[in-house]
Amino acid sequence: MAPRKNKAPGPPPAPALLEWAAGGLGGLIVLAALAVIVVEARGPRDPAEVSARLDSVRPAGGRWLAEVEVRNSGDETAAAVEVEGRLGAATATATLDYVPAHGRERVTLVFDADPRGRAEIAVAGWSEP
Amino acid sequence: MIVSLAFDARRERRYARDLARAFGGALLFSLPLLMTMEMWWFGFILEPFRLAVFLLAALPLLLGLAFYAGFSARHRGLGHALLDTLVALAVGFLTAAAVLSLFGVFQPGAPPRQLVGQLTLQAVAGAMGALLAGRQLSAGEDEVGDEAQATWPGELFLMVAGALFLALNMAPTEEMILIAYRMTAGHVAALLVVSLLLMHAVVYGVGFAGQEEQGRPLTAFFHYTLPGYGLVLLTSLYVLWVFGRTDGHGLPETVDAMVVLGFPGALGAAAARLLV
Repeated sequence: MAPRKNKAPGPPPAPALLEWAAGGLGGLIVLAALAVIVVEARGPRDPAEVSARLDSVRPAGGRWLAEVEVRNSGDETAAAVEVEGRLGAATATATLDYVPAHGRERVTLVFDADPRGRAEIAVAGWSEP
Repeated sequence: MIVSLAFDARRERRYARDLARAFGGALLFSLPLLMTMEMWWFGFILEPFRLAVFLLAALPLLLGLAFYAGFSARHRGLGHALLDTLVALAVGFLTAAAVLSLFGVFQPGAPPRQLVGQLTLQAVAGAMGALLAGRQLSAGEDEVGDEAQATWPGELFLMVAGALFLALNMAPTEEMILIAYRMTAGHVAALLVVSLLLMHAVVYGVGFAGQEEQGRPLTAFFHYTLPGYGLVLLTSLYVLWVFGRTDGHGLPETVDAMVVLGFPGALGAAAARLLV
């Protein structure tokens, strides 16, 4: 076994006060993170449930931009979420990579006419991540 | 460990410098992961069970690293190692929180679980970096850590830490699985042999404690390289499982991915001696 190099003789010195503070902070953060994770792990795991609703509409360049809010009220994340808006014969679509559990995302659908009150906005489907 | 609550300005200043170095190390080592979008996504995709296992399994690993590497030459013994582990985790979490907010990764109104998941994944890599900082960034002014003392199990532990560090940096990306899909059985066998040979070259070339007695390459191969590579493959499997890359995969595909991720893992394990 190799001998110790450059070691100060005697026991290691007492930790600095700053070290106690930083260590305490670390302990607190880890416990808090574990608490959040464990509470979630023990709770129900409802599958993803994604819904979309029209939030606001504004005209732009002769067309209409509809801001849609997509919500996931389930406990699992939805991936590749397809959002569809139907206005008469025309269909506007947008895709979201992910909508986290209990999360919110926004997409914009583009229509040729004012969609307020007339467009049907819905989530067409999603996949498991 | 001596405990003294007296205020000693010199001691505090010296520790503040160690702490600053730890933040530097955390930033340096976890930046690749902080800038990987899959890591942000895994924060909310992973089941809480896997996240809890990941955080809990990291604690003894960090403690071991703190024991062998640690923040500063003045930190020796298990008491200091425990305190260093907690400080390293604080540094990891704070670094991740600061950098991810700076990048605009956090979404306003995101549920707390999402933030905690994203921070926890990053904090473990950051904490490893913080513990390696003493060695990597100390400009050789003082000899940090007790790794010269490492016994054979200690050497194997350092290999696992090195493998985990590199595997953690690669595993979140889709490419690990994609590479495994592209490879035929011949490719996988070849990669396995190359991993073993490279690992042995580094292990034998760099020299482990006790190599004087184990001077023959063949003995070193069976003593360090082979058991080390076995642990590397298990580490790869663990990391793949954490990131859900084993779900829905049959045994052959899982083994392929294990060998693919075992390649950086083997290099990390072999080079652990250089890092720690």
